[in-house]
Amino acid sequence: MVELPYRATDRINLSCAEILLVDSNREGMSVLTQMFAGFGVHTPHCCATAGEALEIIKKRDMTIIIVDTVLPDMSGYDFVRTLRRSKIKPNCFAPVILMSGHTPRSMVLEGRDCGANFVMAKPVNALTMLKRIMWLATETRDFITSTDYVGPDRRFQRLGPPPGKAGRRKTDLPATIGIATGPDLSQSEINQLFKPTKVNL
Amino acid sequence: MKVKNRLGEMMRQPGGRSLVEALKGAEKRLEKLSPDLLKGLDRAIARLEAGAAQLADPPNEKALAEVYQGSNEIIALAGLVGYAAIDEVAHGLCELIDAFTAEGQWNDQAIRVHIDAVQLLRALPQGDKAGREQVLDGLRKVWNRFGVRQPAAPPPAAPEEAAG
Repeated sequence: MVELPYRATDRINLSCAEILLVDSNREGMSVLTQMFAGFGVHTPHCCATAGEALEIIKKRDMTIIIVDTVLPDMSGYDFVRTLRRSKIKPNCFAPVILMSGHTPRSMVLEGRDCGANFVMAKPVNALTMLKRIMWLATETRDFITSTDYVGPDRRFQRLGPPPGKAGRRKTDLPATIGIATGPDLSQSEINQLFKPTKVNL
Repeated sequence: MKVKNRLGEMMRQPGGRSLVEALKGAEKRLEKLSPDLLKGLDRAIARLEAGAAQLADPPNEKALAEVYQGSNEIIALAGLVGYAAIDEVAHGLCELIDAFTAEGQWNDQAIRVHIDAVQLLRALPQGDKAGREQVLDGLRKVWNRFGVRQPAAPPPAAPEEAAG
């Protein structure tokens, strides 16, 4: 379950959003276009092949991209890899949702590692799609560019580097805690950290 | 590096619609699609049957890919038109094909029983819950026999969560 900082009465505005939908299945595409029309999207860009989609991203700035994993000319995973490495801004940074019918662990991991923001299992209903879009709208993950991977940071939790390994990023904290560099806090200072109170001066 | 969240900025612009309106609008439009989705489901079942008819022992790659893709298409549609049981069978079939491929084994009967089950479930009246369960119970024995992960039930189509 994705927790969202939204209420049912909150408003969303997708009227100006440019949505790229890539699905070779006729009914699958109909489901997506009708769903997004219901959400208030006026102009979805619909493509049945990765080739068509790659042409469109050269011309239009996409707000969100939805891709099926099975496409006739290349896999959805390869499409996302190509998009992420295309250097076509801002599309190479655009949020991408990969969709698949059968979703074994290996496919979900490949979806994550190709640079997609999210993998969704079909059949997709409107509520689930809306939740994922709202989750993407609050996305704060860094964008990683390395020789092996281009896409949103794959770490959802700040657990630090794996045990026994040194971190590779400037923000990685060491696994061992060093010696204190300042005096210990007093109990009242600790209390203030946990129970902030209003102070009248 | 930090990247500007353009989607978030756009969604927060004044105007638009409430979450409830957005959800109801989408669901209303999807309801109207049902007849087309049913036709698509039947086409996917036909693709599955055609692929299965070409299977041999050992199976040829092309026919197996057709069966797998047919199952994938069924998964994408069956749950949207009230055929959750067919969705479950198609998931089980994909898992079975994955297991056979990984372990280099093959059992023609185990595959064919899934095709028969899909056809039977499509023909059963929507209200025949006992009939559906009977078919699924039989398949669960097949999945257990080959150590296949039990397919998860498809997500509910009802939007109770968003209303609160």
